[in-house]
Parts: sequence; structure tokens; C-alpha cells
Amino acid sequence: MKRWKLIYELRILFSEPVFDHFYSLRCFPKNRSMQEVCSCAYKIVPCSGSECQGRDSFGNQILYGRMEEAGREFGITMTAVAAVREGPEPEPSSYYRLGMYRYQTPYTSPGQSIREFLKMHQKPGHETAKSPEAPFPAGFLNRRTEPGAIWKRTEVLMDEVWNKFSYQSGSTNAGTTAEEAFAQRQGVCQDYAQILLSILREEGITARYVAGAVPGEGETHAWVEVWQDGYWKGFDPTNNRATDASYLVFAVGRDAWDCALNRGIFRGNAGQEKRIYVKMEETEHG
Amino acid sequence: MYGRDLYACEGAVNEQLARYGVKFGIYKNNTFKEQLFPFDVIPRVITKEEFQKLEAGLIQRVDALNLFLKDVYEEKKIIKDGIIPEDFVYASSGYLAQCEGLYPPGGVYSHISGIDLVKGKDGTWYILEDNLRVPSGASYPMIARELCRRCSPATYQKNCLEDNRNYAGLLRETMDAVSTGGISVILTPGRYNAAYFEHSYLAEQTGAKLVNGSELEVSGDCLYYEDYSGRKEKVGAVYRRISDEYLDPLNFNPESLIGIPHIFDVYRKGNVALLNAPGNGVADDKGIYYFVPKMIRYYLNQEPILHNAPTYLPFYEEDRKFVLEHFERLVLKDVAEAGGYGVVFADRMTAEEKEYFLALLEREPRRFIAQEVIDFEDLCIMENGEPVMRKADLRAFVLTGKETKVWKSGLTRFSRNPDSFIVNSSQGGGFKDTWVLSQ
Amino acid sequence: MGVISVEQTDRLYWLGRYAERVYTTMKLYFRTYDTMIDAGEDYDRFCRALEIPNIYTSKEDFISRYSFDEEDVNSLMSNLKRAYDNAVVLREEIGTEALAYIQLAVYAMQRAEDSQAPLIEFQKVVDNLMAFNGICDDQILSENVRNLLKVGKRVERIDLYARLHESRENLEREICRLAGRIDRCSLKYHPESLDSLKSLIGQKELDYHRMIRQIEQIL
Repeated sequence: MKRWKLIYELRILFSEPVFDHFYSLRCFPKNRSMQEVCSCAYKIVPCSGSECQGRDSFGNQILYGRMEEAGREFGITMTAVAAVREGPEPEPSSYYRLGMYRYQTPYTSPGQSIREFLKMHQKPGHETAKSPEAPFPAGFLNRRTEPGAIWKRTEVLMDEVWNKFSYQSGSTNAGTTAEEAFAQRQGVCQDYAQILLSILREEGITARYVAGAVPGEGETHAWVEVWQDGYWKGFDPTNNRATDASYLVFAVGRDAWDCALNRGIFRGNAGQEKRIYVKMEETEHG
Repeated sequence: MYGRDLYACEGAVNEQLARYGVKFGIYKNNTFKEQLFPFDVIPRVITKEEFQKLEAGLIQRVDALNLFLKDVYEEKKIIKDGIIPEDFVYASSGYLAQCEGLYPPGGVYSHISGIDLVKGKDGTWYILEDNLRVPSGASYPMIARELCRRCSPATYQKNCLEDNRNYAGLLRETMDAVSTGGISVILTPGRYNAAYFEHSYLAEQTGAKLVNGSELEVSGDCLYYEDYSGRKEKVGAVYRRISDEYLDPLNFNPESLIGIPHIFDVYRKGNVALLNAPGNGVADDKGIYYFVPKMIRYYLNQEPILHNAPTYLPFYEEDRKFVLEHFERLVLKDVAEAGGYGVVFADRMTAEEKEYFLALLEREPRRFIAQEVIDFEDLCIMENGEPVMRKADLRAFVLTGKETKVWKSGLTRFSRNPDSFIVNSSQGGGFKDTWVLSQ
Repeated sequence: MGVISVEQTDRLYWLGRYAERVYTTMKLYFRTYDTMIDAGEDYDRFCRALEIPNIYTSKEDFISRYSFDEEDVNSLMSNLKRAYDNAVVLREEIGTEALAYIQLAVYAMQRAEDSQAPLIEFQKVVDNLMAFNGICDDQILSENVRNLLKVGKRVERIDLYARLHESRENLEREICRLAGRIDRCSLKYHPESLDSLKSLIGQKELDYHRMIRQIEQIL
């Protein structure tokens, strides 16, 4: 078990005052079996007060509200201490209730470049979940394979993606789809995660997007979790490795959009400049 | 003929319909136009006995559909038990992951269901499709009845029929049954919507407030309607006539300008009722239609009282073979389309079209259903003073609040084109009143 | 139901104004139309009186465009359509029956366009607008809704009367009527404009121009 101290800072500066600014934030460490949030405090900039807490359908904690006054600045500072245990996260829901993580979303739907990749990496006769002969196609793989086989398969596919794709910050944006990113062969952690999800789901594997943080200073991180036999195991395709107790989970969902750590709309034509600062370090204290 | 007296005063009826602006909007060459909804005075008549059977069948169907929606967004027993392949749920464009585990106020998903039926020449009714999102049309027969009674009192003195002007009362009752406390509103995308007449008429008749998105606001954990002076009134029920995707830009389509930020968050908390519930599209697409009789057996342990039109699912190998062998006599429907679009009759295809379509079917078997063409009963309409026979369907309205009730009337739509089966108003169809006899 | 949103408040006010604009200008137009039958080119005076640009090329052009051209923002048809556009989104505030009179006025206007004797149809437009006023008085239960419509109507009438240089007596009556209404509805207005209208009407020499300015900025 490792204990982490975390700071998350978001600042958005608008070029002119904006009105009716509504926001939803998901930038809080998640409480779950393998991750315990010991303390968590936040402050909205310019001021807290009217915000509400809620939970979305993926079980993520959300903070939402509206800025009452027109303003040129918005942000949040969140500090937390959380303990992470090593090992896959147990999933109480049965296989049938996880279907939403087996199907593509507009962000993960494959196009030509991902399909070509799949063709190269599936041997003839390879039984994917989408083979039309199977009476209940999706999940075919999941229910027939040996313990851990899906995770092994994930490692193989992850390695192939890692070899074909390179990290290049600024080459994509928040709205880039898996297919768009893969076609240009470069992107950031969000793209690595969505590409791997796309490929896994084409094989009928149950897999989800994770937004969170890793030790150090800088930005947030994203990776995937793959379900088998009642457990979610984390894989970090950006670094081509399985996750461990140094990965702190904020939000899970089908894709990056579900897990958007900050989302907002406002009136006005203001330009915006967004800055995010994350710092995660190991600590002894609660 | 029931309509003889009525036909004599057709002119007066049309004048009344024009007076009250019984219109629907339509976009032609990108400009919005309002036009009067063509009305044929001769009613469709359903006997008391016939309607009793329809009523029982419709209640059974809508109850099963509501149970399905609850199951699909929670336990998913019907998938687990192998009744419905999960593909038909999760790959459906109407399925919304955002609704997973969400329990709507009152436990109702489809409050206002529009079930489309046709009557075969042998007198059997068939279900054509279920509309569980924002079915429209009830206001038209409602106001037509009001106006026809004015124009021809003798007709209504002579015949004993159920009064259909209680629709607003039923709707009100439904909104009240699920309201979380506060006022009820009807949320319209605005006056340039095809059914704006209906939105405003139902608001007036039910006493609900007609609002657009900008008049509602989430503050704290609740939804409010705000007046000129900033006074706020809590909203307990929203009969929304905008589609799921536009409901809340922070939870669905971020481009939506007609939605209300965070309305879905307060709905999730059970602080406002949305009629109909978001996510209902998973239960009314043409693919899931095939499974509704199975749902009735599964959830209610009953035999379906009303039948589907014979339907084949190319998704299943056996059905695909059947479809390929009997292609010429079938009608094919794209599961993602609505409003009469995406429907093709195989016997009207050219050789090229056929080849293209068969390839498409092979590639995307889940995308289509194939149905036998039902030889359905034509109805008599008056065209330039002459009676002619035209294809017609019936949209029955089923309302679920504390219990499920069927409105004793319905919207009968007919095709004005003698060669067409398509009755939708957006494609030039007209409407009739639907009489349910009370004796 | 007691609450009315900003949008609805606005629409009620403008419905009142446009319905009144069509009603009053149509009565004036009747007289102008009559003189024009005898080959008079009276439309220039009409335009000047109403302070609308005289964009018309001939008597015939004026009759057809000022009456029916929806592209001409000052035409009777344009103003009536704007009344209709506001009314059609107010059904549950004013009621289907009241809305029907505005609809009927639009139909009458459309028939006038095809008629050899448009004045007969114009009369029906006026009849329906009168009926609309009557039903608003009689059947709209919400005092606020009623007053919003009436404030719109009074403001428009003062504006038109001032432009047309109506008598002190007529203007004074309208200003009093407005003063009696405007505090009884949910409109936010400038009381100083109302005060200055009251003092302007008391002056020996009526300054119509300043009155127009004051009424235009009352909201």
C-alpha cells in the first residue's frame, strides 16, 4: 500500500467576462475498494458557495454549479490524501451489467486505420466477439477464456500499439477520436487509452477509460482498465505497462468524454486559456 | 356511414380548424412553413368490444416496455437470461449509458407512449411500432372533436361515443403522479418545431406552463422557473418535447443551445421528473420491436394480446436465410430511422439497388429488420367530393402515471397518395378523428 | 399560474403594441386610401405623418407594398405578422380563443391582398383586432397578463398619437390610462419618463417631438 498526497489546480482565464457559466468537475480521487480517500478539500475560484455534489452513472463523484457573477476567471484547487493498494479492483456487478464498457462510443469507434491494425494482429480464424456466427457475439471471448487470458491478450495488443504510436504533446486535442489519432500515429495519453479501448472492444473485451494522476508534477494522466472474472486490471498504454499502487484514479467511464475532469459552458465569445497543475507525492501522514 | 352528416359541414369544420390554427410546421428548402394539417371529417370508428381488446393489449405492451426499461438500466436480467442479445441494447443509438442505475421519479420510464397499429383486411390489429420518446399527435383529434361537435351537433347526438377531450386531464394526472413537487411545465424546442401547435395547446389545456430551455434553470439541487422579477418557482415535472441529446449540454450534446445545464444532474437525484425518461430510445427502435412479444412473456408471464407484424431479424442466421429467399415480398426498415424514412419495399427496388442492399444487409445485419407487407384495411376519405380508399394507421396513446391507461381515441393518419403506405404528416399525410363507441 | 418569465413579459408587451399599431394605422389608412381613389398622391403625407420612409414609387406601389409586403418592415402585413409571431407563443397565457382572433386578422389581411376591394377585408382585420381587445378584457384572468397587453397598447397609442399630432385631449387621456396601468404589472420602466410626459402634456405649446422621445424610452 502506498499513501499519496495530491494537489490539483485548474485555472481558466477568459479574455472577457463570461455569463451563465455552468460547470461540472470530476477532479477528485475516487473512493473504491483498492483506493481509500483519507482526506479531500477543495476551493472554487473565485468563490465556493452554490455548488452541489453528485454522482454520475459510472460512479464518479461530481461537483457542479453555476458562477453567479460574470467573471474572467474560474478554477478549483483540490488537495487530498489517498491510499492505494496494489492489485486489480474488484467489480461487484456481474458481466451482464458491464455491457456499456464492451461497446464503442463515438470517441472510440474504429475506422480504416484501426481496422487495418486489427486485421494484421488477428490470426485467420481468430474468434473475436464480433464474429456473426456466435449467437451472443459480444463477450464470447470473456466467458470462454482461461483466468487472466484477457489480460495477457491486452498486454500483447498494448505492446503492438505502443510500437506503432508515439507520444507527441499538442498533436491532438480533447475532441480527437481514437481513429483520428491512430491515423496520424501520434498523440497523448488520452489517445493511447482510447485507441487501446477501441481495439479491445472490437475483440469483445470489456474495458474502460480511467482518468487520474501519477507521481510527479505536471498534468493528469489517462489509462485503461480491463475486466475479467470480477476484477478490473489497469494498463497504462502510454508507458506500455500494467498499473500499480502509484496510479491514483479520479474517474472511470467509456471514453475521455465521460471522464472529463472539468466541463463547462458559458455565454459570451471569450477566448479561454486553461492551465492545469497536478502534483502527486508519497507521504507518511494521513 | 357515420360521417354523412359531418361531411355535409366539411366547409365549416375546415374553417374552424383554420381559425384555431391547427397546423404543423415543415421545413421546405430550408425555410420554415406552417401548414394546416389536412383533416378528413369521416372518423375511424372502433367498436366498444374491439377497443376493449386493444386497450388490454396496449396496457400489457406498455407495462412490459416499462419493465424492460427498468431492467435494462438496472439488473439486465433479460440479457442474462438470453432473451435479448446484448447487441440490441448496447449498440442501439437510443441506449444512454448516462441512465445506468438511475431510478426515475415514480419508477415510470415511458409516461406517454404512442403505439402505432394497423388493421389487416382480416380484422386483426398489428403493432407497427412503439414510440416511447416524444410521440406527438394527440392534440389533433382532441381539438378536431371539439370543432366537429360545434359544426354538426346532430352527429354526436345520434351516436354514442367516448369523449376524447379528456386527454388533457389524463396528461395532467400523469404529470402529477410523478411530479416531485412544484409546478409542471411543457418544454418546447420553440415555435419552429413541427409540433409547436400541440405543445402550446396541451400547455393551455393542462394548465402547465409552456417554456423553452432558457426559462428554466438549475439552482442548487432543484430546477426552477424564473419570472421577470427573479422570483423562482420550483418545477416538479417537465413534459419535455425535445430529444434526449439536446436536454442538457453538460451531460449530452455539448452543442445544444435549447437544453438546460445540469437538468440531468437534478433528475438523477430524483428532484425533478422528466416525461418521458431519457434513454427510452433503447426500447422503441425497430430492432428491439422484434423482442417485445418476448418481453411480454418474460416479464408478465402472459401471451401477447396484440401481435407484431411478422418480422425477421437478419441478425439471426435462420432469419437472414429466410429474408434472402423471400426478399421480394418483404419490406425492409432501417432500425435507426423514424418518421417513415429508411423504409424500402423490396419489390420496388431496381436490380442495382437490390444488389447494393443485399451487400449492405450482409455487412450490417443488425441495422435492418424485414417485415411481411401487411395487406391492411384501407379507410375511406373524401377527395374533391369523391370517396376514395387510402392506407391509414392508428396511433394509440397510452399514459402511465400511477397506473397505465389508454386514451379512448387516437390519431388516425392516412396517406393522401393512393400508391403510398407512408402516412406521416411530414410526408404529406392527413388525419382523422378516431371514435371509440361507448355502446 | 402567477409567474411569467422575462420572455413572456416581453412578448405580451409587444403583442399589445403591434396589435395596436395595426389597428390605429389601419384606421388612418382608411382615410388615405379613400383620398387616393380620386387620383390624389396622398401617401407621401401619410408616410411623413407616421415618420416612415417613403420608399414607394407610385400610388399603386404604395397600396400594394405598404399593405401587404412582408419584406417592408413598416407594412401593415409586417406589423400584423409580428403581432401573430408574439401571439402564437402565448397560447397558454392568452388562450386559444384570443389567439384565434389574431389568426383571423391574418387570414383577412391575406384575403385583402387578392381582393378588388381590400377595404372590406381591412374592416374584418379591424373587427378581429377589436374582438381581440374585447376577449383580453373579458377572459384573461391574470391581471398581470392583461395589464402587460394594455401597457403595450397604450405605449403604442401615445407614440402614434404624438406622431400624428393628435389633440391634447386625446393624448392626455392615453397618458392617464397608461399611468393607471403601468404600476400594476411586472414591467420595469422609467418613472421619470412618465413624469415628464405628464408635464409635457400640461405645457401651453405641445412638444410632440419630446413626447415621442419620452415614450420611446419609457421601458
